[in-house]
Amino acid sequence: MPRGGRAAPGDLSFEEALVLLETKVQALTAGRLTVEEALEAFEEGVELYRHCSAKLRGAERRVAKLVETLKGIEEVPLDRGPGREGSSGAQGAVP
Amino acid sequence: MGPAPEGTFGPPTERLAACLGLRHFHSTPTPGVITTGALPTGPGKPLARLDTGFRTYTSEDVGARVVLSVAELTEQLRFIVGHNRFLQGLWIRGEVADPSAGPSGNLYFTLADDEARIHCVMFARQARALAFRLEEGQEVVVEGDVEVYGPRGTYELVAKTIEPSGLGAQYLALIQLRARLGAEGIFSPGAKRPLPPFPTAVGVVTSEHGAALADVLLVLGDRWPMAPVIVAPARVQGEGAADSIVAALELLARRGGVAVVLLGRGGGSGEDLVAFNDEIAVRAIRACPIPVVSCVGHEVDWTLADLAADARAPTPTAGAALVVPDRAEVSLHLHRTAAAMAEGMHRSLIGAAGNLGGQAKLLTTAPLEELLAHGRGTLSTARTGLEGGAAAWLRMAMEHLEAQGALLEASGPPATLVRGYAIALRGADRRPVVSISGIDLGEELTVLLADGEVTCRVVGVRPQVT
Repeated sequence: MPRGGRAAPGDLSFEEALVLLETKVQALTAGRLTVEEALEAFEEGVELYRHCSAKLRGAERRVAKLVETLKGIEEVPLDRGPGREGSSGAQGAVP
Repeated sequence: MGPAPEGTFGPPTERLAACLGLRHFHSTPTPGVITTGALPTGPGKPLARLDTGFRTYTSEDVGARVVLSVAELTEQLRFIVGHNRFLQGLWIRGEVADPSAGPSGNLYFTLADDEARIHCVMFARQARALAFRLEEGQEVVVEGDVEVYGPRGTYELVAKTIEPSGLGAQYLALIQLRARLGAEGIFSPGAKRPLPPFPTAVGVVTSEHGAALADVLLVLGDRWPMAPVIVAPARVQGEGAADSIVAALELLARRGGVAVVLLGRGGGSGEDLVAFNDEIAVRAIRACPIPVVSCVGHEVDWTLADLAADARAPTPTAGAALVVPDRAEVSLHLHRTAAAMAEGMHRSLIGAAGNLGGQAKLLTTAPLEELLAHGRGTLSTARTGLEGGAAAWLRMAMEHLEAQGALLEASGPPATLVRGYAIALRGADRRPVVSISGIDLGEELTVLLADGEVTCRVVGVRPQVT
């Protein structure tokens, strides 16, 4: 359970979470923390690890095409027709 | 014929000399024989000299047959050829035959057409800068000077530049544009921006219907599917291609949220790279607020787009691999980081357990039990979320913690005291005494026993005899 007073990993980008995780690990392996501090760092590290891990796993392919219209820039699904495998499968407009 | 003053020529000779660009020319009425007519000699000038530019004759030579050595003849030819503006700084078109590289790096070849051939040499310094490979049968335009090569009694062309024929003018214009943009710093290494390690979204500027886009999408989806791909379609060849590339880059910049842009096209025969060498496209790459990676598949060494981009890849596939990390590698790194974290936690617990006996604050078991309970909870939640090596470390940490807990219950301070041990404390903050150093005679110490405490005064300090 995350305690109060620290950023929820849910708001972090993959890169931010990974960098934060690496700093926690550095602090832990440097061996200068008390057991309580170590446990807290560890707990936060596990949250960050899960966040990164989920991001790596739960990726959904998104490809959009930019089109300039009178209303401005629009994003539409890329129409590639029946083409190569993997390039026309799980595509959709970026929300 | 009267004596001709030095440096003046008879009318036809003068025109010829001026035409050949010779510095000095003196006519002699009978070729090969020096006559007084050509020399400003007289009673007062017995040692007058005639300088023909390649040999000096004196009055003693008058009336004598002039016999030249081969070296002298060659020297005369070298002089005439070397000072003739029609034989220096020439552009010659021809077909390359027998190209070969010497051990010193010099490039040798023959330039030929249907009727004649001339041997050519390009010295290593220039040959290294040559942007393409010289091949048998290739039509080229060579810039160079004609030179007489004495040791072999031949004349040859010393080439300074070689251009593929036909592309000549276009190529020259390209070189000039490169020099101009280079002077502005557009290709400067200092202007290149680093690529984001984990791009949030990837922009792609290429033809919507080309094979390059399919390749790029395939690689991006395979390596890093988390990043949305935003395609800004552009024409990559033909009329209006450069403008189209500029517009696509601007569109991506206006949309925002794109961390890196791939700009390119596939290679293949009949490739048309004009758009990627166009000044407006090159300037748009440098002006783009997002780092641009060029991935123009081609046979030639470079396009100006490659030089201006923040990074370049030889093909669209390689470009896609350059802009995103590989998910499998990142995953491995993440697991290793988690394992290091679990190992660090493990070590912390071992360290803490080792210190337990000496810690006065652990005299009561309550905080320890709290800590242990917290630790067990954290570790067991964490374990379900970690994989592989990290989970193994955690299991070890938990087992260690359990063992320490049991050990503490059995041999924690209260149990120890029952077994006859005592703990000495000093000062108002009741710090445990772990060494004789700093103990003063007469100082009061508190000694804890199983059923209470005793206040004592120090009457002697003796180091342990080992």
